[in-house]
Amino acid sequence: MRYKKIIYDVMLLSTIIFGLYSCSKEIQIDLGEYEKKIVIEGYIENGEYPWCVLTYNQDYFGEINISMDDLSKLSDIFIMDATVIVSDGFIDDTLEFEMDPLVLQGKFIWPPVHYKGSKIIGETGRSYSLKVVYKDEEYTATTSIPSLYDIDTCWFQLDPMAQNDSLGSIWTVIRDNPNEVNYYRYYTKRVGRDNYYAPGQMSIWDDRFFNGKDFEFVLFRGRSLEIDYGAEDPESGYFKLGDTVSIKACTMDRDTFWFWYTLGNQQTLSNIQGGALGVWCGYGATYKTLLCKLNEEI
Amino acid sequence: MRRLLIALLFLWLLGGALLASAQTIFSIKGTVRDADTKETLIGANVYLKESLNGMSTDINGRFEIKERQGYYILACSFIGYIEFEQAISLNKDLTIDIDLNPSSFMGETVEIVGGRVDQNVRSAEVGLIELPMKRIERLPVLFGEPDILKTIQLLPGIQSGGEGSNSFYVRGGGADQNLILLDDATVYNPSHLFGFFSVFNSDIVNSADILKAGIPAEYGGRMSSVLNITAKEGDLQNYRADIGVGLISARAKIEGFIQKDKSSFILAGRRTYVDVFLKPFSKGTNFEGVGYYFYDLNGKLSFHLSEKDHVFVGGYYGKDVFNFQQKDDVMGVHMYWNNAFASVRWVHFFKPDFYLNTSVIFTDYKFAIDANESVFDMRLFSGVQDWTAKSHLVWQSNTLNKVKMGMDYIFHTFTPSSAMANSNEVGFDLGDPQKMYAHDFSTFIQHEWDPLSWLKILYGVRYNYFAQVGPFTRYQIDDIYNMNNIDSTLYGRESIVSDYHTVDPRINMRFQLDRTKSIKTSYTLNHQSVNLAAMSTSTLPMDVWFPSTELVKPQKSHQFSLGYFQNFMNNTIETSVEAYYKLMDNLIEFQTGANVANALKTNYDWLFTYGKGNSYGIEFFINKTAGKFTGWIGYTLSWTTRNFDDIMNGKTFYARFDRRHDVSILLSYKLNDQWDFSAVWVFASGNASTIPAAFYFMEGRIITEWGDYNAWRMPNYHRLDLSANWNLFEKKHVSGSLNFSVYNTYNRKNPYYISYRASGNLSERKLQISAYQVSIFPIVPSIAFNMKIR
Repeated sequence: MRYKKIIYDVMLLSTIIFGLYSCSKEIQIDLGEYEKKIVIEGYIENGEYPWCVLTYNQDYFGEINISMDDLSKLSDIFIMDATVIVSDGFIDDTLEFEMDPLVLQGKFIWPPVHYKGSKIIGETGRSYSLKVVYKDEEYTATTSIPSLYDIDTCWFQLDPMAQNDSLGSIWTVIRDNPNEVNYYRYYTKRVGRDNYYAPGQMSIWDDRFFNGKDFEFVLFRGRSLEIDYGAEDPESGYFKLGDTVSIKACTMDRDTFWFWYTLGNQQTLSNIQGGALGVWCGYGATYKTLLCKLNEEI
Repeated sequence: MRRLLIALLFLWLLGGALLASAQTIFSIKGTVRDADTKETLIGANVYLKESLNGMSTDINGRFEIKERQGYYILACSFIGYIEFEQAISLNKDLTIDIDLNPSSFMGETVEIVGGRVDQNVRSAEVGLIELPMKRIERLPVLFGEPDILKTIQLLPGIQSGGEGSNSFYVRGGGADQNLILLDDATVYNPSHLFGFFSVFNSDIVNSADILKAGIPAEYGGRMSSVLNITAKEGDLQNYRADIGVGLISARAKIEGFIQKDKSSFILAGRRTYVDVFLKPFSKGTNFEGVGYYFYDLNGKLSFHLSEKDHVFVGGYYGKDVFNFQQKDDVMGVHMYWNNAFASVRWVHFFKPDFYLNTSVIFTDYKFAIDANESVFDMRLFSGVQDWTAKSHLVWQSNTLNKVKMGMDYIFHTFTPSSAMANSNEVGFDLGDPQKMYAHDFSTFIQHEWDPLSWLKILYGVRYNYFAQVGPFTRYQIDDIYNMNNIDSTLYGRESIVSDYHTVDPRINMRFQLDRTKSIKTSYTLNHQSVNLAAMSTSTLPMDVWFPSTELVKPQKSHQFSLGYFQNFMNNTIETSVEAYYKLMDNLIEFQTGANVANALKTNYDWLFTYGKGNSYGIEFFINKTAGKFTGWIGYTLSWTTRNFDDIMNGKTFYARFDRRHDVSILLSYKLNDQWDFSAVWVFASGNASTIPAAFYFMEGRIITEWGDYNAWRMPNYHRLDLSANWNLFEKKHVSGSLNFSVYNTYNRKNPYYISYRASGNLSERKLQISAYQVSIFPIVPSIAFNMKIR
């Protein structure tokens, strides 16, 4: 929601103002031992095979070093020998562990390894269950793929707030269905520049405040994983004139929404049973491609 | 209800019987005034030196002492004034009006800076501390602004909300559990500038009393403390003006008589001017559209209509404004919050020792934020508005008995968070702004009684009736996350939605061991029906005041307190050790994971969860109140915990303001009439804080897995502040002084919050998170110029 962005901006401004006086120094915090948990990030999307990555939670201040050449180091983060089964109620699809083909081509992709199905293809209106068995522990979840949302129209618009005069945002008109509760999320990918779809800042919302209404909505670009976490994104949240952008608009069910919505809070609401972190996420996804050009509308 | 009435009647009859049985003695009565301005002085100490029998002057500057026939020295002292002494022969009732001379004009040697000289050991109230403004004015200040709330935080048992913050926590109670009164009007948000300054202009504050335990029955509605601030009256003899110019603000005060000796006015105002100064420098920068200021205005009219009737009309208006406007109007934010009150108080004396104090007060607190960005605009607002009527009857028949009884009524109108938003003129459906109305009625009776020479008892009872009334819509929701309304009940105007009857007994007992030693104990039960739903650690104006409802039961606390008090060196050094234990119930917190935005379309109280708390500790206090060298040392050792079924599955956790050790040392030295110096050193154990336990990846992003609630301690806090006051000149009609202050003299980097930053990135397959302690105020020197015109 856009008003959240404004509140965020106000908070940021207040921080800047107090920041004029403030200073910071690095401190050491001893967190002690942490409870090791497994993290499930699983997706099923209409027209796609189910897909899942299993990781461990990590020592907060520990150093992460991922070596694609040394599988023993990779296993500090990724679980590569679990049994992952997705079922649509009729067919069980046991997902196979594999390295992402892009990694094999020498390109960057996250995650570099995953489990992928080969029997079930996601369909709207259906429910899917997930079962992960690892070291005698079993984790289960259920999700569904709701009906799709078609991106009606979108266009690129330069943003005078941007530092560079060729940067801008993509706008769209949300046309919400008044007859159902809708949960939305969007991702964007710059064709030829990104290898993955990234979720934009505040990309998740439900229709409780605009049920059945049509209104203009801005899509921010998600942060690239190639940029250092501590560094500023030179095109901070904007698209560039000339970018070709693929927009992925997703609908999801209530439990999936609440996971993404509360992710990182004191208590994240997960739909996974058995004590694992993460989500089993069903997406109804539609795609649209836009060339970032002035006066171009699709 | 019937039982309660019987109990009240019994108390009343008991008081009457005691009055009737009192001995025949003579009285000395009168009024204490400033010799120069004829302004009555509240809280001046009047006593007979031989018997130490005496009292503090009341809100009308009056006193009445009753004593057996004999020869005595009548003494009177008050901070900033020369001590008064007069030999009297008490063989009939006497009326003696005392005019005290301000000390600065006489070059005296001994100055009293505390309250009543033996108040520490003689009063019945176990947790009462009086702070005269003249003592506060000398202390070091941040940005040149004397601040009463910052001084209060230096007392044992009272903790600061954080660096520079004005919020305070008393004996483990929340920031909303303090009843803050300015001339009887409730102040809902005592802060300017995001909590760094208080709304109390030092120019207009006459005195401040804080009660942290043993709160008498005359006060109600808050569980932890009462901070009672009285504003000055205007000069009845002359016209005066004060001007103060500090680093970030300027202030002015004028006062004088309307009709000499009969009526007066006082008007004071302040405004910050950082925005004005920064404008030329910010032109063309990213901060060009940023502006912040606050201002406040205080006024009071006093009419002494006759010996029997006095009328006071007071008012306050203060506002904070934050503006940000991006070039070309692409984005703008306008945020403000304001406090306002207007009051009329009438004091009628039936007899000198029997008077009625009646007031009608209107209070208004509002917060709003307007923001626009491109095609989008929104408004968020909240507030509370009160109409209050109070009538208190005071009867002091002799020194052994004082009875107070009265009634308070408040009509509250709460506006919990409401919002409106549009995108290109398409309105979002954020629910209708909800207002909540409540009747808040209380009646009390209290009796202060000296049945034996060594025993003093202050006891009483307060009955409260709190009713939320319509118009109101009560929604039933599906669950606390979705918050979809599944059913609703409509309540019409004035129909009762929910109501609560509560009875609060209070008792204070003082056992006098000898003239300089006493033991005091108290028990109080307090109920609180207005609550602050605090989302933030500072007193950010986004916090919302909320009444007791069907779901929100009145908060309740039992407090037991026991203290040993001893004075030394002719009552000039006061010491005390106090232990307390406090149990709290029906405390409110936000549900974990509940979303405030989702409550906009339903009832806000679905967001809360309810729990218990307890706090216990011991406080040590040494206070030197007289001489060139004054000051205090306070130390508190305490524990404060909370327990909520819905937070961490009912596991007990430390409150955020749980503070194991808290030390304040305050020293003032008056070198001569030109110079005085002060130093303040504070030490506090680190605040309890929630920190990460681990992290995990989700879509390649770092997600924090948080540890237990408030399970970690921030680094300790300590700071030294210094100040010097230089009286530059003092002539018949004009005087001027400079205040030099240094905040955080040794530039300690105290923790304000902890931030976490990651370095590296996943494409390079390296990643490391580090913790940073953010500090906000380094060493801050300041200078302020003050001028008085008479």
